[in-house]
Amino acid sequence: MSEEVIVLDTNPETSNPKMMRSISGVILLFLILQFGTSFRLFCLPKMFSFLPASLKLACDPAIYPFLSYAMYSRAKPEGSQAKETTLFGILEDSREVEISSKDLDLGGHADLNAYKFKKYFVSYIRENDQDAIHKLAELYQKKNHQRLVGLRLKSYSYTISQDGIKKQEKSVQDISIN
Amino acid sequence: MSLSTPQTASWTQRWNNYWFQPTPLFNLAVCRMIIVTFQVLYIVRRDYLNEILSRADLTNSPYEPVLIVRLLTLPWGASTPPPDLFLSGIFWVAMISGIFSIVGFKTNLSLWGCALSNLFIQAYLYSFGEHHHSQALMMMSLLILALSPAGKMLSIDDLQHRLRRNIKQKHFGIFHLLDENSIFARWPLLLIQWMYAFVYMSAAVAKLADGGPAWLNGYTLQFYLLQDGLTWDRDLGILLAQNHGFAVLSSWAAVLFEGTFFLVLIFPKLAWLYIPLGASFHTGIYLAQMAPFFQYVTIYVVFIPWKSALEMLSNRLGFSRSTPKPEILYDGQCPLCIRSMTVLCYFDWFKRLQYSDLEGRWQNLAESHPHIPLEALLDEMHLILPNGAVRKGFFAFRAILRYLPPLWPLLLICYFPGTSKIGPKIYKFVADRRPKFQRCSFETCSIDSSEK
Repeated sequence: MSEEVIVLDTNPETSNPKMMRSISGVILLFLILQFGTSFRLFCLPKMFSFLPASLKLACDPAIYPFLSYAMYSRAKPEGSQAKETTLFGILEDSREVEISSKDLDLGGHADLNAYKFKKYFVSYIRENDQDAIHKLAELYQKKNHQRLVGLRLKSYSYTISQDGIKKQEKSVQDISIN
Repeated sequence: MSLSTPQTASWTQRWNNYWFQPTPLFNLAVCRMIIVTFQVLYIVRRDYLNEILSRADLTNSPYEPVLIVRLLTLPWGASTPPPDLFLSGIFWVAMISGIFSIVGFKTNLSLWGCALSNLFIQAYLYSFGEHHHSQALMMMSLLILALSPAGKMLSIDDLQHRLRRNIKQKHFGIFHLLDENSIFARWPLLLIQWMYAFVYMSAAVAKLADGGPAWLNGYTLQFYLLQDGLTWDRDLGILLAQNHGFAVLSSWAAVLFEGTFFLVLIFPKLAWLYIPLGASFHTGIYLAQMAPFFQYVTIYVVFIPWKSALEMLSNRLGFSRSTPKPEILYDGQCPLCIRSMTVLCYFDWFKRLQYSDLEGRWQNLAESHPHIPLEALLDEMHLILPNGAVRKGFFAFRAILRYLPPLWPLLLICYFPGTSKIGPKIYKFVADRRPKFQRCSFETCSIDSSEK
């Protein structure tokens, strides 16, 4: 015990116990916040979803950068299906062209990667969201100078098994541009 | 009271001894430079300015500002994204304060600017219904560094402070950066390590809590590898997803790695196992699933004992302290010489040079090197190499650089064709104007510019 005291007393900076106390407060704050969010202690479980939002305290990302790390956390059984969806546009002459994030003109805006393209366009188009459909048609026309009269979503399913991956039949969804 | 006091004291002492042990400031400073450099390059490469400005247009999700965004954008209210001018301003604050933090100019203020602006940018991007994890640890690290004495070494601030002090004292005293410790240099590094432990543990617990033991069945990982492989067009992900045995093994490895990472805090030597494992783990995830967690690999620098690593490297490279050192002869009465010696010493991390003030060394020198006149020594810097050869002026400076690895980039300039002719002229030009810098001698006036 006396050795520990010597370590502290021999250092001139120990003459600043106030600073040590303040820093200790910061350390504790970081530890408590990250521990609490790590194990989702500040966020009430779904069974309390009827409560007003203000009572749900800090569900991610309310107190960002303190987050829980529930990434890829759902288990999948054998036979689960992963989907690959490709978006096609139908031109005025009935030709079918594949549309990817690179085919849209976002002006000076940020690069639209594959994930954002699926998130902000494909998923909404699948639900026949006319705003998203028109926005896409407009951005496509701006870059390619060709008008789209319709869209087509082709989805392939892949089944996960112990023997590997099995490709299933494709499904096609036609979407009109109103 | 008398019973509880010793116990309280004991807990306080244990706490203090854990968090506030004397630690090389050098370790903390190196981490500051690496972590902030990564972040500055990250926001430049990712074209963050455009990403910030386009986020409100691109997404269909409602604007739900995160706490820090709400606080910093009070004037615009919580329902409207702030104007582009404000967002651009924040981006440039992040850039400029980041660069200042790296070089250590007004370091703590810059680190605060860098931490808060980056935090705002991330939180703003996550105010549209989705958030990601890759930047969170970086944000916490920047905040922790802003509260720490990370700028007390390897910074313009520190160099300026030493120059001012030496000039004021009219004396150059040899110092060794690597030997300077502070009790406040340990807690920031340790706290970031704790954040790692919580983050990884959270990931492991979430997998087992949400997925149960079935998460380890192999199909789960096959699914995620395939899903991300298809989304990002990653052939490696698609290929690996086809191997069930590999998926089972990798699932166990991932959960074991994440769930036991905290052991590094108890047994620091385990870092030699966990850090390379973690770096491979994150690289593998990127190659197969395009999940970029490079911040995590970069911030592993907090686990590296930089001082010991450099000393080890120094021994390996034969920079042994026992070998004869080149000797710099300088005029201790000349402020410019004191400044020059302070700067050279600042980068002499391996203690490879010997600094001799002419005042104390002259008698000896006159006997050992009678061919060097005192006037010449006072005119320009001299360097006596271990083999007895003498270099003067520019050539002395160029020879010194070879002994100072942090300044090796300057060798490229000093050995550029034609420099042997121009270099001495530049040196003479500066040396001849010494009185201009000096203004007056130590005997007659103070050098401290603040007293002008």
